Amino acid sequence: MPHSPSCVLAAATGPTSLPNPTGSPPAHGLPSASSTSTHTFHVPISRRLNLASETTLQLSEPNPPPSTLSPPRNEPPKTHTMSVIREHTSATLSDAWRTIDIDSLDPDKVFDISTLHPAIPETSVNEVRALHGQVRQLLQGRDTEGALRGCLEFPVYNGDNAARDAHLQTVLEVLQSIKASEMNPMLVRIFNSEGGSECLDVLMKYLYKGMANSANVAPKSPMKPMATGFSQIGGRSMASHDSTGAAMSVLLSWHEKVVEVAGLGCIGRVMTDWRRV
Amino acid sequence: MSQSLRPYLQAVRSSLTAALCLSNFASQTAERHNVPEIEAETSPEVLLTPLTIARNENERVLIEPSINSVRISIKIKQADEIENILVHKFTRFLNQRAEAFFILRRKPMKVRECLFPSVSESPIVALAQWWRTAGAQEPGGEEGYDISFLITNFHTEEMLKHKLVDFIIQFMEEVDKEISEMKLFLNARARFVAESFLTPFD
Repeated sequence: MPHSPSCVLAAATGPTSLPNPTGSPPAHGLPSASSTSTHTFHVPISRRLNLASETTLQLSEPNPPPSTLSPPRNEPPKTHTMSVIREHTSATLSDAWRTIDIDSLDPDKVFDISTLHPAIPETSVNEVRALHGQVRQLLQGRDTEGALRGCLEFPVYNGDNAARDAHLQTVLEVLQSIKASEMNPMLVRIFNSEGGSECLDVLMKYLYKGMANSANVAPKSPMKPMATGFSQIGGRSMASHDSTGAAMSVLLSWHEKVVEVAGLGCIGRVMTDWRRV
Repeated sequence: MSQSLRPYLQAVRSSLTAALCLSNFASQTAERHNVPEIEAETSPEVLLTPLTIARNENERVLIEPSINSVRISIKIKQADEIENILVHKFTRFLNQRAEAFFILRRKPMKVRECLFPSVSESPIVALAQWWRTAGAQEPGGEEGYDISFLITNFHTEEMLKHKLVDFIIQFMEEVDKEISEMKLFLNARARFVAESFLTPFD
């Protein structure tokens, strides 16, 4: 009689706690002091088991049953708002997406450089060549100041590299044909005339461009290692070295004179002006 | 001082004085950051036109100004391979002690005048030009500059501007003397070593 409830409960729990068929007290580690003690021992286990099954049921309840209206499979269910990555692929596991520069895709952060200078009409090579012809005529007529003003009033702000280089050559030709003693009075005359300040700014731009350009077109490596392992600058490259040095000294003396006449603001305007030659 | 050195240094001095007008400018891309814009290159509108001053193709200075920093790169005269080695060793010695110099950049600029494509050029043309100039130079070769300085607005706040300009000019004057002195000394020592080495065979 006292064994019957434990027998029913034990059947529910499993075959491990099957009672002894002989009715003798159980020989394994269970307390055998009284039958009630075994009874009270078995009930909590079964309760715990029932609770466990209930909790699993509660866990599975929020999931919508397949029979009800369910969203399409590729869309995540709307109840799950926390999860971001549902499936791991090689793309989500790698860190490559972290290197994408998302700022460059933001239209608020892209600054349009072309708004920094006014719209400039494009100059073609033919126009530059025509101007070169006129300037050369003025030079032959000994009107060096007119030639200098002529080529400084039409700088190539917008054009391809050929036009830019051609106009630079025109300016350099004029600069080299002016004597050192004429430089200062001529610059003062230009500076005091109308629009003279802008002319000298343009001249300063071309002086810097001339110096930068000479470094670019310079022979790549005048030094050639000799068989003896010792090398020096060769005779022919020495000649080109001298010629560029002479051209540079012309530009440097012009630079000094322009700074004397127009001041340091001239250099500042060259740096800050986005209309580059 | 030689005849063409004076106008060269004078041009560098006036250009530097004009370029060293720096102001404090916080980064526009990262909050609470303050970086030299010429190095970060994140906002192109605050970078100004770079200026090149050349004495000949072997000696030139590149000044790259921006709103809060100026980078000055110097190419030191190198007439032959010995001077090439001496300049390399000398600038390396200085670069390794850059902390003590405050305004010295740890690495000299190697790419020359290709960061700023012209206004009208398309990006493809600019990229091709950059590739050509960048591809033309070998590492440690003739191209590029030997030593670079980086002056920020914090330097100009702490130090006197005209003294900074004087320092750069004095460095340019001294380094030529230093290199030619080292070359003479090296030649004299090599001659002495060769003589004493060959004496037993005489």
